[in-house]
Amino acid sequence: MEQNKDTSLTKVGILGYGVYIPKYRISVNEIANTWSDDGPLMSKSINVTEKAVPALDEDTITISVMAVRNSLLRANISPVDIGAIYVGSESHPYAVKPSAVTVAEAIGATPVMTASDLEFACKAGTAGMQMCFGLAKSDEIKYGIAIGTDTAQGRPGDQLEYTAGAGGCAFVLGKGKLIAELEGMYSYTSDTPDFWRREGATYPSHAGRFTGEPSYFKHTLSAAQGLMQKIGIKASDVDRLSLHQPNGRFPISAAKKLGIPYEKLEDALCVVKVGNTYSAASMIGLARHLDKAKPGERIMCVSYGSGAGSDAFSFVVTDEIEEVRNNAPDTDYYINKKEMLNYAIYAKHRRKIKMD
Amino acid sequence: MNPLMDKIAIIGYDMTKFGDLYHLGLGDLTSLAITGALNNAGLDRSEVEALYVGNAGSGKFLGQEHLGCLVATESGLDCQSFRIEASGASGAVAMRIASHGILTGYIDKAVVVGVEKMTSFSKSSDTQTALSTSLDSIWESAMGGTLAASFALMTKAYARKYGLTDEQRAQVAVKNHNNAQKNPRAQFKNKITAKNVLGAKMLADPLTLFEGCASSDGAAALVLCAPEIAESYDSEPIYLRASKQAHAPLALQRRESLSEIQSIKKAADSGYKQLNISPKDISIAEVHDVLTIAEILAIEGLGLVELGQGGIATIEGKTALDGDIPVNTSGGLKARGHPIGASGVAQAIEILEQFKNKAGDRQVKEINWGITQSMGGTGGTSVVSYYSR
Amino acid sequence: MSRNLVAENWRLERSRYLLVGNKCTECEKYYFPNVQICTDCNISKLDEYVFSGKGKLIEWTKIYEVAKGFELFAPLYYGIIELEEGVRVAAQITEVTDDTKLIPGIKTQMVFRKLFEDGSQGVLTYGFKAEPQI
Repeated sequence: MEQNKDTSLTKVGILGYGVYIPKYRISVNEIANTWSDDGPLMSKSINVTEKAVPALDEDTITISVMAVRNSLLRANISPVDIGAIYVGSESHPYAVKPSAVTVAEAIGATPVMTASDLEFACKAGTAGMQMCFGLAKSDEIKYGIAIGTDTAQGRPGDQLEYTAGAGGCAFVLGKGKLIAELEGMYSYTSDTPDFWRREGATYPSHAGRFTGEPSYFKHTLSAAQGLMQKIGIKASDVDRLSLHQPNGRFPISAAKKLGIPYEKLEDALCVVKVGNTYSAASMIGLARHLDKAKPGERIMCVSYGSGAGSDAFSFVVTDEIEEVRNNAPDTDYYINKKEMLNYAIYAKHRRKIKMD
Repeated sequence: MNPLMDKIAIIGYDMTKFGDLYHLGLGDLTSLAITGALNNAGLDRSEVEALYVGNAGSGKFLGQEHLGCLVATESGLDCQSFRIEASGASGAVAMRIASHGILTGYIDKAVVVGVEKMTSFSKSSDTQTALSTSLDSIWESAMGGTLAASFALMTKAYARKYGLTDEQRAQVAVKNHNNAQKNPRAQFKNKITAKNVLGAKMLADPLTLFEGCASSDGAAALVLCAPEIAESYDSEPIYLRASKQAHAPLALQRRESLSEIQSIKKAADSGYKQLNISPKDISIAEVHDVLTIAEILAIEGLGLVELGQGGIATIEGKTALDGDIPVNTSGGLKARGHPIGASGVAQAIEILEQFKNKAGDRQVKEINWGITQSMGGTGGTSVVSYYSR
Repeated sequence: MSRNLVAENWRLERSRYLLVGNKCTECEKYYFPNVQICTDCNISKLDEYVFSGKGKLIEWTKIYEVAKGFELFAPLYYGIIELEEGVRVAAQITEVTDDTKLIPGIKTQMVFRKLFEDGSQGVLTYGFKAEPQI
């Protein structure tokens, strides 16, 4: 084959992105009142005011489909050219039967393609991005879609219940009309049991403060620093930063430790209003940066999944972003579209009420 | 009908009480109704040539199919048997099919029985599920629709077009309960008010529980025969003069209008035309008031009142027992009870009792023509039958 | 329950997920759900057609007494939607916050939702529901 010098045909990146966040919310205050906790204090300590709650007819599959459809409105590609779909989540509706096939069928991408569900706590979505980039770069597929979606559950009364939110984010990845070009990716992984859920268990367990320093911070910072070193950039070269956001505090501290000012992180901090969307969290942060970024800006996105690992990516936004940005609802549309629930209705939505 | 034969004689009838008949099985109900009808006709079991069973859902309510054979067995009949299903119109269609057998000369005497045994379900959602099977199961029921919801959509569309009030609708139920108080076999003999009706819990907005029918058990049977042999059984037989059936698309969304049930009008018009009569000739009508709105749509479809005037006519008492055109003197599906497959046959029995001056306190004077209107689901199948002396 | 017949629901996936119907090559009539024969033309030559999902509300109701499997969703909004191609479908109406805004004629968009589930062990069935564009 003739060597192609046109970089648009050799570089991989993002062609489209789409976000979906269910419209229901419960406030930290409302949860705190139920458990006789101090709401304002809790809200302040985790820097979260409310979290997104799925509707009764929503789950990881439906949220993924809605996010993917938004991403396709921006990518403007034919669904039959999609060669891979990966749904990263820790709340797949089935223990056995892939979410990804329903998503693929619902966008008309089947049958000549590969699909799989991924699980790596909150970083399964970015794991899917890496896989798509790999396949697209090696020309095994034309386009791949990586989705991070969760409808996370927290044990009633547990600290996690204040943050476990719901949302999804999808990226159409590959070569072609890129809106953001991938500069490099880097992962940092170890066996660190900070958070887990055993097979068949309803709610996850966590190791309290152990989830901080040796877990979230160690992996997030190592991945970010490793990536910067790998591609030869400094913290000051990063224009925009998205980090995993299990609460509203951790990412702010992590950015500070990386030497990246808060202002560069701020646009990604959706956790304050929608809670921790788990696999979607760092991806929605990236999406919200894309909602606002100017061509030429460099965005670094670092996920974190308990267990533990971090995937870091660096993108440079292209001129193309302006063309596609308004083809689908932006992240703020979903953040602002909301209806508050009381704890009783929330409990019904999250099926915390035993009915059989 | 066959030009050689312009009528079918109804020489015997009987029905069980309708309601919560927990102690009686489906075979018991049909055996009681059939035996009563045969005795009423003075016909021996061995003389029955064919049995037509109208039943909407024994499979879903009881897990029992092969109903023709079951009913024949339990009723001591040794003859060919047929089960006819057309949802709420099952009994009425069974009567039509039986009359076709006689009209063609294939048989001379037939038994028609309509039956339903519905009270074995203990959960409302189970009943709603069973009732929803008369809709398009994939494109209505599985989308969350119910029978009441479909009628609610029609109610709202009708009200937007003609300005129907809640009170006008409620009056259908009030009137039918009033009539049922005078019917010993009715399921609900309590007097109710519009306030009771509208204050009851909602089925599907704006229709309330008191606008619909409760689950009911019951059977109703007729003995039909060729007119030339009728008088040897009944010196003054009442005749089925025509029975017309018309179709509308199964799912509501495939119909052109939500504010009328076109199949009722189609069936009615073809009957009037054949008999060369008009709605003005009708003295009494039994209609399929499965929900209040259905009676309003039915009396309009039958031409008993002007289009859009059904609600007003009802609240003005035009369809009451002492009105211009008494409708549902039996109490209707609403208050007599609606064991689905039995209703079409029970409607005919009310007309017969009225003709024979056996309707007691609810007796209507000077009956010229009687009419029954029965339908399946939301009116995908409509049957209109005409009776005279 | 018959609603949870696996093979039957599989057959309906493309209709429910993607609004795949068809269009007669002769009279150009749209069909949803898809048909094998255009009975108007008596031909079986129909092209697959994917409906956009855009439409308008024709009529709606709020169902309180729901059928089995919908208990958790009760009360639910249900109505008839006319797709922009002129075909009408029945669908649940989702994302309703204020039903006084559900006025016939308002625009709707089909969204992807869970339709029902077969208890806690059985399959999940997904499909379209209408979201009012208000």
